[in-house]
Amino acid sequence: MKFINLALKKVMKRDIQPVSSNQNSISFKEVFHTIDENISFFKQTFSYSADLMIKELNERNKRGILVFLDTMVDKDKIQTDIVKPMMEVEDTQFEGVLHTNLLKSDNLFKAQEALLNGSCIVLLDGAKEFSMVEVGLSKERTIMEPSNEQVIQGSHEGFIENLSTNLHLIRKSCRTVNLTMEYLTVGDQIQSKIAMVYMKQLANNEMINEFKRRVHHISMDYIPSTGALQELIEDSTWSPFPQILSTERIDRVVSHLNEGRVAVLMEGYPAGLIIPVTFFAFFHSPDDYNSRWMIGTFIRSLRLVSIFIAVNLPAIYIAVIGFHFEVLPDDLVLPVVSSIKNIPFPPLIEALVMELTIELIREAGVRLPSRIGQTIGIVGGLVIGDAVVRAGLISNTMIVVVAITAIAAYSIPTTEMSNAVRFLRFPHMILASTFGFVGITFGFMFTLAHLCRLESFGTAYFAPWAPFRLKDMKDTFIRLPLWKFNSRPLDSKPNTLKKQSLARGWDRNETKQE
Amino acid sequence: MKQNKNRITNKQLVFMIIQAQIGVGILSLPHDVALLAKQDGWISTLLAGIISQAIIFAFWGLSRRFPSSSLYEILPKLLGKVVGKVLILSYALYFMVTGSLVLARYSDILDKWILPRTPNWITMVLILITCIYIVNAGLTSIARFYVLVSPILFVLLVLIVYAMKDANFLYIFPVGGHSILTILKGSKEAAFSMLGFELFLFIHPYVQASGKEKLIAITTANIFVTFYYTFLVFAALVYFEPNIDIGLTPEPLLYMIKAYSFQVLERTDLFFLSLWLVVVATSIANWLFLSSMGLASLFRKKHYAGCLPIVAGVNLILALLPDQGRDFEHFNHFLGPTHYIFIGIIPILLLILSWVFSKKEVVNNL
Amino acid sequence: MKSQKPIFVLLCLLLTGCWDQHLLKNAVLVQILSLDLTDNEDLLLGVSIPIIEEAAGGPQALVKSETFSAKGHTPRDSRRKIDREISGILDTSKNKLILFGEQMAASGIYPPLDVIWRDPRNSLGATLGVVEGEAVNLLNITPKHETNVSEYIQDALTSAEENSIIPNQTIQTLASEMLDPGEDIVLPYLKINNKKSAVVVGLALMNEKKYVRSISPQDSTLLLLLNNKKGKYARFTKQVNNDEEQKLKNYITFNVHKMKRKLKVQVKNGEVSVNIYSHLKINVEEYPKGDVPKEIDHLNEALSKELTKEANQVVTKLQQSNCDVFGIGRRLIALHPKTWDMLDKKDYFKNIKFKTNVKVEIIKNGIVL
Repeated sequence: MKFINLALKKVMKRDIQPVSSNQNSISFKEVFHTIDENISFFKQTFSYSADLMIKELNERNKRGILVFLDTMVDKDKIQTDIVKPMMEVEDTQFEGVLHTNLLKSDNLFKAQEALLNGSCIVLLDGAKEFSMVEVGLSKERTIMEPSNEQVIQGSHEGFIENLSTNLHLIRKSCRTVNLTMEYLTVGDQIQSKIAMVYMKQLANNEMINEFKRRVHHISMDYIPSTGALQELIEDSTWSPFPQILSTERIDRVVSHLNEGRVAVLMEGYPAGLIIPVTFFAFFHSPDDYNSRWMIGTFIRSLRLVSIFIAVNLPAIYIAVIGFHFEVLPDDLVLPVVSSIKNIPFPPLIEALVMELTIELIREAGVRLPSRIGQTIGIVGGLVIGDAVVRAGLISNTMIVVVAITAIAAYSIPTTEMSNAVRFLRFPHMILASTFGFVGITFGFMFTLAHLCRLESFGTAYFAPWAPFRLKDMKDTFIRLPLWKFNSRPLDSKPNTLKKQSLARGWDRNETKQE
Repeated sequence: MKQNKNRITNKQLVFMIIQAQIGVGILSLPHDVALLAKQDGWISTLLAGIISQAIIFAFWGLSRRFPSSSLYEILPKLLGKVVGKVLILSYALYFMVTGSLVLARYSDILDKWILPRTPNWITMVLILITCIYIVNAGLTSIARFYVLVSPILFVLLVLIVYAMKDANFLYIFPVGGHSILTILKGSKEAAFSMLGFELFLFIHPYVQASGKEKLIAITTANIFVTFYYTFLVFAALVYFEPNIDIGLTPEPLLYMIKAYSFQVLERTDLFFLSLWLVVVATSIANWLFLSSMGLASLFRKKHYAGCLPIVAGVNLILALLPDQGRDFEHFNHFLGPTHYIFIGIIPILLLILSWVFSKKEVVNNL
Repeated sequence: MKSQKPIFVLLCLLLTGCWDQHLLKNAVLVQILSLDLTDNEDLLLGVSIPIIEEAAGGPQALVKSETFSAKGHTPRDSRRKIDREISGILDTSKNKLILFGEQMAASGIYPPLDVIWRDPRNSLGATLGVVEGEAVNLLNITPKHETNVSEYIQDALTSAEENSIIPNQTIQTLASEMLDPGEDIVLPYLKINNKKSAVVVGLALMNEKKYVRSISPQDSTLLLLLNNKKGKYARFTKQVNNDEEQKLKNYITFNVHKMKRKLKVQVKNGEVSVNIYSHLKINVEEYPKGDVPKEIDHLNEALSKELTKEANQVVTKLQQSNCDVFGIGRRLIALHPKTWDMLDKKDYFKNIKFKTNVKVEIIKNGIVL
């Protein structure tokens, strides 16, 4: 471990030279005296781009220009908000007319920024200041349910790419004065806008400051997506487990906000990041809360079993038939022997081949157009499976094992955790084929030790199992009835723990009357 | 967030001590004790627990006088720099030797029962790598891990209770047929398997609890381990004929588990030994942790993680030395008196010295 | 890079070394082991292995058996010789049945079993049995209703267990009893019938791990009842009258429903006497004469007398064979250690005075009177 760390440090030292960032240094540039100088300034800054429009206004011998980016503005708005009022007015100042969305400034760099954000600059000859009017164009997707986070019962709304709309969706579900939003920008060359949302009275201040500190220290040209942001601020990139929950559902975000967590959204991406998060948050689905608690508990326990199956079943199978087949009960030995009698490969190779085939089918299935996708699913599943057994290349029992594993892995609600679990399968298989059951125990210990030491923004990742808190267990692999949820879980260190006391007050009152 | 890296709660202390005590010794304990005390082996085990409790009181007394120093810091304070350093080094070596003995014994058991042809050094390397990974992260993570794997202890209990259906309770009579001396000889063997509570001397500064609560914690741990061991020894004594049969089986508990099969699982001892590996690994991790802490305080290193590979390397070499059963006996003979010295004599001596010289740490209410 | 070398080495070792692999497809499973004594005191080991035929129609494959045997000095020695004849590696981890020939059992069963306990992969749930004549012949029978010999014999033994003819024991539960100086074991006794079937004919009495004699099925059931080890059913057919014209009407068949047994060991002046009192509550299953309640007292008395007489005969047989199946010796070691020290460790059982008493009580008699 130490050697690996040393080696990596040497590699990374080469890359740690700081890149000059002009993030916070919007320097000042004065407005030029003549209109022509301003025009040439704008054209140069925007590299003579063809969509930079400069329209001249002539108003009583005073020259003025309208500057805007053709591709960012809504021309109708320019017409109604700027040009029409200006035409109607006689002598009074323009500013009086431009009563909507008016901002004044004398810094040309600010003008640059405003143009990029879809504003229109109105500049008069000889004036020291100019006006910026927001006339941005917005073409958005309709609000619909995210395709990979579907639920049976519950809200079917999801985030879209526009930041303001997303924040609007959160606000409308969460009407309280405590809901606070903060805007940050990241990225050196291309700036991305990030919004941080949290409940002021609940979220831990240290957490918020830590997050801001980490974002502040990011130095990168351009943050391509929320996935990249995740990687830049999470605690440990070496771990296969995700430490930040990325979701496109609004009800998920709101319920986490209510437990004292912080949500982060980025302009242009429909995902919200939730920090800090525990291992078990990846196994919760809004379905559990919208159905009856016993069913919810049953389904959740099923997910616990499915993690175990998805990680260990191929490994256990390889260990059993390769090393310790005396573990099989007597009645099972002969059927298993008859099915693997003539297979040419050792069990590890069989398992690897089948697992990789399933991963390939999955990858291909994502990219196929939906009409062909159905057919390929049937082809892949039935024909390949059956044909491979008939050809005598893979045994029947192996196909059963691989199929059950695949189903178990896909029953996990979040894709990142599902990927992590599927990835962990392979080291376990290799360990099992070398040492049998003892190898699986090594893998299990390693994973467990890893989970115990992993932290997400300072909170234990594997809470409430480690450190063990009985009170917080009511919402992990079982779901107790809602009226038992009297206090918030401790792992996100909220400021107030008590959430509710008598959720079913009507019940109490009735008995009192009698 | 980072300042709290080393704090553990009282409950975690209980589990840490339990896991440090229970390791590989229990598997061969009934055999060793029955060789000496025959059917009164279970009385020997109980007595061993009482003796350990007495030593624990001494430890607790020492920890009360120096609430924020581990033993490695008390030694130079009370005995001077030179003698203190020598003793720290010898403690670190003692822990390394004990750890490697546990490692050697368990890989020997793995060799006999499950993996006869796999080279021993590979299993040892794997165990050591896993232990380093567990210990590397700081006391809090270690404590969390130890708490999490504690349910495995109950698996053994359940399996042995199931085997009791074929027990013959007549094997335990006549009770007390042997002299006290023979019973005490058996206690010596049992006590060596119960070692691990000295962990308390080194981690008590990091426990967030009052002195009294800490005492309750370690006493609870010791009582649990004593009853656990006594029950298992008793179970083995009523299952195997105490004069001949138990003398022939060096790991009686595994034999008991091996004989039973369930609907879906046939060779239960295999499944059990693989699970028990986790408990043994926690024991070995404990010795690794203690010896690297010793080396770290000797070389004035901030964090003990740097010393871990060195300790692991030494452990590996030492563990490869014993080759057959007789070597283990030699090892044990050699270690016997060292156990007395390091666990019993030195702490009690320190306690007496601190009384005599009235050296006490000024309580700063940390 | 230098720092990656150790990882490479470790990876190579992990991937190439699978030292302990026992691939299931290469293993030939042994289902029955038979041990016999040859004329010149060597060991004849017989193994029965399953042959799996591909399932033509239906999910289950047909399993047949094949037998191999070889002579050697010890079981492992013979096994090596058989291994040379078989394709694949002989594997005894699923062996569930160990049969001794009469002569082999008479010369001591403990030494050949040493290898079973020593190898960790062997199954300790195996059952032991003694066969009349040579055990190897039992492996060669061809029953019609069950093609696999091992399945057949195991099922026969299981049903005998349910009927309380043989006790429920495995090689591990027998281990301690074998090594106990104060207790002896009994094993199932099997006979071959016309090369087509195996019959469980009762128990084989052992004296200090050596076979002495066998007893009949009814005696075996009675012995198990006296030893407080009843299976699911314990059926007897006894004669209670002798003056009916149709012979059938003299008999009664019953099943022991519940039983209570008291065993008291008394020591007086170095003399050991044992009282066995057994109270059987029975269920009449067949009484051709009819009308049980009318004669219930007579039946109880007659059956008690009959069973007591037979119990005494069984105990006499036990004492003659010096087979201490009740574990009287162990009780002496535990509760009267000084007396035990004075007794002759080998023949103490012969000198014990037994008093047996069986009381029968009819509690149920089916759905008619």
